[in-house]
Amino acid sequence: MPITAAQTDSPYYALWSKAKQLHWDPADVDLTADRAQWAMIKRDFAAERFPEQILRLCSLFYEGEESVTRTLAPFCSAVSRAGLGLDKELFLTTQLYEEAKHFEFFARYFAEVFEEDGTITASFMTDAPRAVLVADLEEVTERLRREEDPVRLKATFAEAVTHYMGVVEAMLARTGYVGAHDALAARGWLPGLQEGFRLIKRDEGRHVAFGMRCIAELTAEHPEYRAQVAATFERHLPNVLATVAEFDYPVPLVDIDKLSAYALAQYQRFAAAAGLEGGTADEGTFDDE
Amino acid sequence: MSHRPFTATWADAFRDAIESSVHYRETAAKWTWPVALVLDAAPEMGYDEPVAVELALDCGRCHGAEIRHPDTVSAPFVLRAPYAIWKQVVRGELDALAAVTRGRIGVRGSLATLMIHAKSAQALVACARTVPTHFPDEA
Repeated sequence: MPITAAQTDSPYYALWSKAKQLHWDPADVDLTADRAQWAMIKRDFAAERFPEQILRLCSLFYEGEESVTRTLAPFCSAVSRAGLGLDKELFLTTQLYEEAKHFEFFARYFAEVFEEDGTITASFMTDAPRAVLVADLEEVTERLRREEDPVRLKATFAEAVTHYMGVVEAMLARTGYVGAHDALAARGWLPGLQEGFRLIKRDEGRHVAFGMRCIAELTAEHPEYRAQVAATFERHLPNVLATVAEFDYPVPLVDIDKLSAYALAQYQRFAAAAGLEGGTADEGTFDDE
Repeated sequence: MSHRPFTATWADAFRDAIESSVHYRETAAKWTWPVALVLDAAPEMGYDEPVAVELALDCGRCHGAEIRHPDTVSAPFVLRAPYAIWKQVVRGELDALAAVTRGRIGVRGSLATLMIHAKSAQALVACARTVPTHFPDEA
């Protein structure tokens, strides 16, 4: 079935078009300066535990990007099965491609700068990030993949969008990338990593904007989904806050209060898009650049 | 007149501060739930038992503030912390939401609801900061 004029005029189609214009290749990011600086950071800032904090941040990003790459495919299938629109399917193909690129960026960074094979990430995956980034996300996307009842499929899609785009991408990923980028930029450290963060953050902005528009559309059509959106945040907020709190070092690399406030603002905006009472409607900041 | 925190006179002054705050009335217009603030026991400060202030908050108003034992509070939101944390919050040295997100203030109740109404919570704390308060460990 050909795409309709209404679909090519939709905000989802606009996000798809923007994604095509903003293509980047992880292999093109220059990591030359990072290799020398990483040796300096390990040598001169061990007492502040900055190398550990950078590795912790990047480990969560690496594990998180792998998880969201592996769990997105059921979203594309669900949109198709539920008849939610080809424009949404088109956008999700770009998101799947981008999540895989983000994963590739961290694989490259661990190999070429940290000189680690990636197994070190496991030591930073404590219960809270493992639950919210991996285990619970796998659980909801597995339900999404298996759901055959069209009514329940749509409701499960709303729950999965809330977890994936609302909790993981808006509250954790974007918050983390903003905080990490600012912390490194303030010190003039690791320019290649900063550039990766900037590019990934830009992509994540589109993903969150997609999720917000989806959840606004779904909850407008089915107001009963709002309780489910609220329950999904309720279930995962403690693990989100516990994950952020893991960066509360005696000499913190990132500004932990700023990070918490940013995560909270993301939640409030997503909640507002879902029509939850008290949320702060301000979706413009997600869809940046 | 200064009030010792978590006493009946302090609770009354806190209620009055909330009731007279235009900022709170506007900011918390959608907050409709009672809240209990619980102070852990601090015998060295004269609090031999934990104590709660239960605030009957509703749509920007405070219809009452009662001192209770924490086991008897019925508020759906209970915020609990040790003396030093409450002191920092009331003195404006610690942001209450940051204290919640960092686990320094324990929360019983819907964290999602509390966080979505973060500005209401901050307005409530702003009222507490206007109450003349004498902390027992200060001269």
